[in-house]
Amino acid sequence: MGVDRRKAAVFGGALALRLLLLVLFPSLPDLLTGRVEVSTPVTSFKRLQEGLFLYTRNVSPYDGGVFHQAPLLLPFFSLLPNPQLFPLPTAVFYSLIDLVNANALVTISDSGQAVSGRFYSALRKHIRWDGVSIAAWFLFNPFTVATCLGRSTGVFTTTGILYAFASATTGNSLNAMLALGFASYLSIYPALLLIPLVLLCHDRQVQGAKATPEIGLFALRHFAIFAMSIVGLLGISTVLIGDFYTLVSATYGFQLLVPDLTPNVGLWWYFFIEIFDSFREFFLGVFWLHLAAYMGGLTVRLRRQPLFVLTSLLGVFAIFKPYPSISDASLYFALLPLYRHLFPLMRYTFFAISALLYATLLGPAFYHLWIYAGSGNANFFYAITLVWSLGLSILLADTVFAALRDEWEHDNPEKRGKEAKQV
Amino acid sequence: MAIRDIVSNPSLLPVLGLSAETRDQCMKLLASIDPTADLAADPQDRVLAASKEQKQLFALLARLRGQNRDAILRVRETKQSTAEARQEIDRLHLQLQNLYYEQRHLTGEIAACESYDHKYLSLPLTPLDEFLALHPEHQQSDDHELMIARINHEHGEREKLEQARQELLKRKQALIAENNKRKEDLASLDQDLERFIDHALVMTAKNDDQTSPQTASDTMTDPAPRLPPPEKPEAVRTRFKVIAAFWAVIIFLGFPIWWQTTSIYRASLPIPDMIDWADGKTCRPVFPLEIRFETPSLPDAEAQHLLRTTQHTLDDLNEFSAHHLRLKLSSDVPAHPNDVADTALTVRLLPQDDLTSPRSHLHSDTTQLDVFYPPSQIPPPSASNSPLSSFVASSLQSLFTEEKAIIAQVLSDNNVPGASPNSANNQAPSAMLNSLSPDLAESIARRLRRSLKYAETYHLAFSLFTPGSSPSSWDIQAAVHDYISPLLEAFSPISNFTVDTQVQLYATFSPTAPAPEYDDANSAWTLKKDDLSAFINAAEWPLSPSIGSGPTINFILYVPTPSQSPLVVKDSLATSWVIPQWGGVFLLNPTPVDANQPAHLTSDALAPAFMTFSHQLLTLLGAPSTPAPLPLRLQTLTRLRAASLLLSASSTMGSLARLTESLPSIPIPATVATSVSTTLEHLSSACAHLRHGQFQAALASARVAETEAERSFFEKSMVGQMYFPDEHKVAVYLPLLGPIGVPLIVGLLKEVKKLVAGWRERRS
Repeated sequence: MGVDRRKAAVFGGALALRLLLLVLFPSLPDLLTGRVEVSTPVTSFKRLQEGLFLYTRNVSPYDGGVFHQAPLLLPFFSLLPNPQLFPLPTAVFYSLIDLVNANALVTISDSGQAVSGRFYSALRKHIRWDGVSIAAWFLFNPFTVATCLGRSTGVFTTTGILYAFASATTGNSLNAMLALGFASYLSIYPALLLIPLVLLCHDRQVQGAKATPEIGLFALRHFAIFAMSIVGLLGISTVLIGDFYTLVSATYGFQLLVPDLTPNVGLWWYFFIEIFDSFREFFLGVFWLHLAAYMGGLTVRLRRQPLFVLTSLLGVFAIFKPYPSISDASLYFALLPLYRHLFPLMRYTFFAISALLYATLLGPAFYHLWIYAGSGNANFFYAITLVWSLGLSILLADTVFAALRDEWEHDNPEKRGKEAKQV
Repeated sequence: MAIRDIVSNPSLLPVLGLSAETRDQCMKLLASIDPTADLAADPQDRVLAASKEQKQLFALLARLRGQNRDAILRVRETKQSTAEARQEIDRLHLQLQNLYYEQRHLTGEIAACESYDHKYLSLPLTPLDEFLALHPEHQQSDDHELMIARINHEHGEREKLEQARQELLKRKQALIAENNKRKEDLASLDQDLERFIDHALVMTAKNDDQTSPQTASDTMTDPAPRLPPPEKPEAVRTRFKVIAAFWAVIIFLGFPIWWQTTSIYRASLPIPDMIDWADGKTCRPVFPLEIRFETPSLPDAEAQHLLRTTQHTLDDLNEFSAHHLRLKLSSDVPAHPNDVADTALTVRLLPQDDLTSPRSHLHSDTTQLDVFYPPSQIPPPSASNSPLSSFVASSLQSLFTEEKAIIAQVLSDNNVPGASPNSANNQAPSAMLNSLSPDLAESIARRLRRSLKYAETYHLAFSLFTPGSSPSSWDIQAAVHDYISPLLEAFSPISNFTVDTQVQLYATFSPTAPAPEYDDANSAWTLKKDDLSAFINAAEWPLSPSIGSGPTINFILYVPTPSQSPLVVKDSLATSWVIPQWGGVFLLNPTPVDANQPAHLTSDALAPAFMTFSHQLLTLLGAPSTPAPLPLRLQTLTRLRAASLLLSASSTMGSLARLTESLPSIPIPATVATSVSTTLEHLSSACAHLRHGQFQAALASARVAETEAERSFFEKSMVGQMYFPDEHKVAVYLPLLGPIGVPLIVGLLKEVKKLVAGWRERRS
């Protein structure tokens, strides 16, 4: 019961912090909603409001050309009172979503899949944090708090992804596929997590029951479930909107073709502002392939730790997605403490963390210089986003290195603790 | 004796004695001559004694003088010797001083030498005690010898050490060489080992024996303890899989995307045909005008003969082969119904008895020319010429002079060769132009300047402007219907028209325009001819420059205030004028002048204005001024437009062909190819129609050709694509793909190398 009390304290504290911030600074949510670091064109709460306005007046929400999010959010949000007049219910709702995410994290951590799986058991598994600590780390992360107050709809994708992981680690592969289908329906890119997630489910299945299901059949069945869930959600959406083509081109087409080059913390917008128009399609392909190519390599290389592959892929997405925001980074940061046992093996933590802090502090300042003060230009902000991405990349590469090192030490017990050089 | 004390020199003593003797003698003399002393003595004696005394005195004085001279000489001598002695003393004194200086310098030098810190005092020698211990025989030797001995000893020691160093260096070189050799050996050993491990692995895989790789790694750790442990075969396989995964994405997704997104679609265009059209090689516009003769009162044969002679005369008169008249009897039936040419003119030959010479009459509303002739002038069958035929020929010729000139002008502007090289009367349009009278040429040029460029659609804007509040309405619909619509209908094969109207009250002149002046002679307000261009208040009058795509032709009806009417143009007293390529203006002065202005302009009131507008419209559209009948002018305009459209579409084709040839990297969409082929098709049909004299059809085809040509030339995706040289693509691709590509390619190469090595291994 002591643990439960701790958990209740953390969750209650997180909820209280969010509501306190809302009460103390009533203008904070609107400020955060307008920040490019928090709201991207595909997750912005303002755009959701626009779509909601059109939807409640029986106009296609995509006619405005502003709303690009999944249509199922609309009937859901139309149940909530107008956030302009009553901000509290929306804030409470978002805070609860955060708590739900934290709960999923606790489940993942408690399953212990991060430290020992079917093929592999980490050497330093005694160095770890318990689920509540990880949940606290997630809930009190300023990025998470800002995302929550900024009411970015990215948190629903986060929920889908975290629940998919949680279900997979507890052996509930059907729910995992459904949750991943939900996340992919909201914003395409989680579909790239499918293969490692199926592997994770398979490993868990093998661990649980002694019978080994045929991997090909297993993957096919899960893929079918995943596809069915997406088809089902799209079907409901089509019923809601009426025109399937408009729906797809306004949501997935928008995410794939990146027509809105509003600045964000990612790498795409500046590049596509500068590129010659005739090469735009080609480089769209290159960027998407670049994003997708990591999936295969990481899955093969770290076959023994599928949950780590998933975590690293989330890190890759936070860097190379077309419309990344700090909510993606907060998701990656939420999963990193599961690998507390890798921290002693990491080499550049100081550098990575200072780069991230530097970008976090200077990013808003440079954005202000560029947009409001007019004394800077786009390069200022882009340089900061580069630093941000650099910090994340270093962190990512470092954790992958640490995981590989851990595997290597596992395979070569006689070399444990000795100096090793990367070849 | 004071003087004796002072003078002690012996040489002077005789002088002193002598001088004392001389004084005594003087005394004696004085005494002898003293009258008081010895009065007793004989004066004679006294005189004798005195003279004797005097003589003695003189002798003494002489001696004294001699002595004095001697003394002076001696003094001089003494002075000289004194000076010499003094010089000697000075010299010696100087010498002495020099010696003093020398002495002091030497003293200083000695001091410096004594205090000099010599190197040998601080030589890094073996300490004295040690040296003495080593060489006791030097115990007694003095410092100098001791030092020499020590230095020699040191020198010997150092040479020995240097030798030792050289030897060590040699040994070091030898060791390095040895080391290198060993390294090479080790490297080769590495390869051997790898081969051995591979074999061992194969064997382990076969025998499921774990020990051999272990021993392999053990043997390897001995010679090179720093080397990493060997990679396991599954690690190698994993790496291969990772690299394969990346390359699979690149090959199966990357390359298709690259191909799809960067290939430029270039539809093939008939470039040579297009250039031929532009150069006028494909089509030489000709204008055979068919003129039909109606000869109701003549027998067929005679009519034929008249026709032939007239044709001959016409051909002789014609200087411009591209434009010629073909005479035909109205009873002739063409061989092919398709070849029926438009009849440009019908000539009716009517006999009239009371005439002496032929007379012609042109119908004003049809294309008919009545020629009345005295019956006697029917040419006899034998005659090759007759007054009637030459009259007909010349009247026909004069009818079409202006049209011919305009066409020649248009063709020469577009550099079209006037005739084919084989043609007998080969004449360029420029030659035709040169033969024109300057007046005619000038008027043609002015008309071409005035008229608007051809467009598919013209917008007519009729505007009523008045500076006051009335008239506020006009019966525009009826006026347009009565005066403009028929004209537009007639023009409909050439262009489309839209009509807009507006009424503007309180429309004032622009402030910069000069105000009308009152002219007493004509009792009217006058505008200067030069100020007409400023009449339009472009800043305030709402005259939009264009409605939609085509050009706008403005017609302005200006009703002056009663206080300023009648308003006319100075000198000419005209009330209307044409603004070239823009429109026309009409000043509608109310009648009678003093009456109140009507609030509504009736159709009748508008009649003169719209009559003028219709004429202005004809001028603006480029219709020739002669011949007078409207149908003929319209026909001329049809031919003109057909020719100019044909030429402009052809030159557009040429430009497009040159553009696509000079820019090999611009895309050519399929729509452009379709448009081009449509254009060429219609161009050739227009040319064929022209050849057969079917000008309406030719115009229709030329219009289609022009529209399609413009569309293909201004195709958006072609215009948007700028010139983009290939070397720029390096700058586009490299910055991103280079860093991504290098590790991937290096990884691929390594794997391929390994595969090839393994394959060779298995072969051998």
